[in-house]
Amino acid sequence: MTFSSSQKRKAAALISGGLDSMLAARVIMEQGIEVHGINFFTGFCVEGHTSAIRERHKIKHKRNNALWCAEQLGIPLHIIDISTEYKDIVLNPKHGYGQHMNPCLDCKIFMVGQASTCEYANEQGFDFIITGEVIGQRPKSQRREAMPMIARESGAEDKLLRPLCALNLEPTLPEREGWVDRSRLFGFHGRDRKPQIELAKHFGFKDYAQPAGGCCFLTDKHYSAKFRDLMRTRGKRDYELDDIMLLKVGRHMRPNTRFKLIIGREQGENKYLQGYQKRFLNLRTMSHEGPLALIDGVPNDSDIELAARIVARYSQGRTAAEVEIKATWPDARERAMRIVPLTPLEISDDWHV
Amino acid sequence: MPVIRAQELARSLAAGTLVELSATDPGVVHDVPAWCRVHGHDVISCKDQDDEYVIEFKIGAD
Repeated sequence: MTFSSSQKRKAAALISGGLDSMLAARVIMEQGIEVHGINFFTGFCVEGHTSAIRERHKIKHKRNNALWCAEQLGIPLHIIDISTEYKDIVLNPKHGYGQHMNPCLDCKIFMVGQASTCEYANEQGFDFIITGEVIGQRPKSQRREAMPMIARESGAEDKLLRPLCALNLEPTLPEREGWVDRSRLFGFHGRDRKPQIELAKHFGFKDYAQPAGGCCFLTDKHYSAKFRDLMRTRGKRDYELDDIMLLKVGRHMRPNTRFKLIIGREQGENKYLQGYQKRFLNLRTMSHEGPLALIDGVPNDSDIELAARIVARYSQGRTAAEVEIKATWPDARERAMRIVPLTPLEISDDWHV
Repeated sequence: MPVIRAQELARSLAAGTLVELSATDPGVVHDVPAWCRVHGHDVISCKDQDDEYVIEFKIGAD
């Protein structure tokens, strides 16, 4: 079967916001295929979001890279909230974790499967799915053996086309049917980024994101440590969306197993934490400029005093003889305290999560 | 995520409808205008008020 212009084919492109998915979409658009972007919100994939929160990151791009890619490509982008279903992927990955808490292979299988069967896909009637995967680009999810596994376990089978490395794989349905000209696809492989950068240049893309962890916080060592701490101290492998959002913000300190402090590091984070202050016992510095801090857990009275002394340490009153701190509970109870800020030596390195 | 809520809301609204979205998440001041541009909606205003960000936009024809 050859491609007929009267029968325009439609593809769903998984858009992460990185260069590879952007290029894959563009390669297929070049062949006259109507491409729609799909981006998944897992709760873990918001690097641009965090830099937007932090005012000091003024130099960083404060943008959602997936939306930005769609804008550059001139395609619609449908964002799907999979944060609830994604919990099972993160907590029980069939294929295990990568270097940190990243279940990359299970994640890819899940996302490709969702792109095939979600409500939006059914509405749009996509003929095939494209991803920016490149064989050997990532040690776990993009190794050669993983490619057929993703196609099979996601249910996409031969409707899954990887335009950037297609020449290293068996022809897929859109290639065999002539919807896509295989000779205009690529055979990229390995971790070398030069071919992608050359292709970006060819398409005139001057600005693009190249996040090292593929846009996911679970590939981050520090984030993963905080995530493990959360589950360990709660005594169960479970989380809520707010838990994982808060892991991205502030300085996290756990002086003991009863509570953790989340201390805003600057005005942007303080403002973000304000959105949570009615749900957490929180501490504010009253006598000096200082951060907003949330207390997660069940602290006793001496824990609250210790928390206040820690917060004072991170306020403008750190060298003052006394600092006034106000504790406010979710039920609006308040307690004012005058405390002595901890000295740097009194803050144990072990408290930093 | 505010932009997903905006997306879901927009699907059921007629072109020309005015939408006011408020959020404490500072990401909205970048994400919602970008989403509006991608989908042909018009941003009317984007304000940083005391405890929240307020964005007003008009649903586009597409």
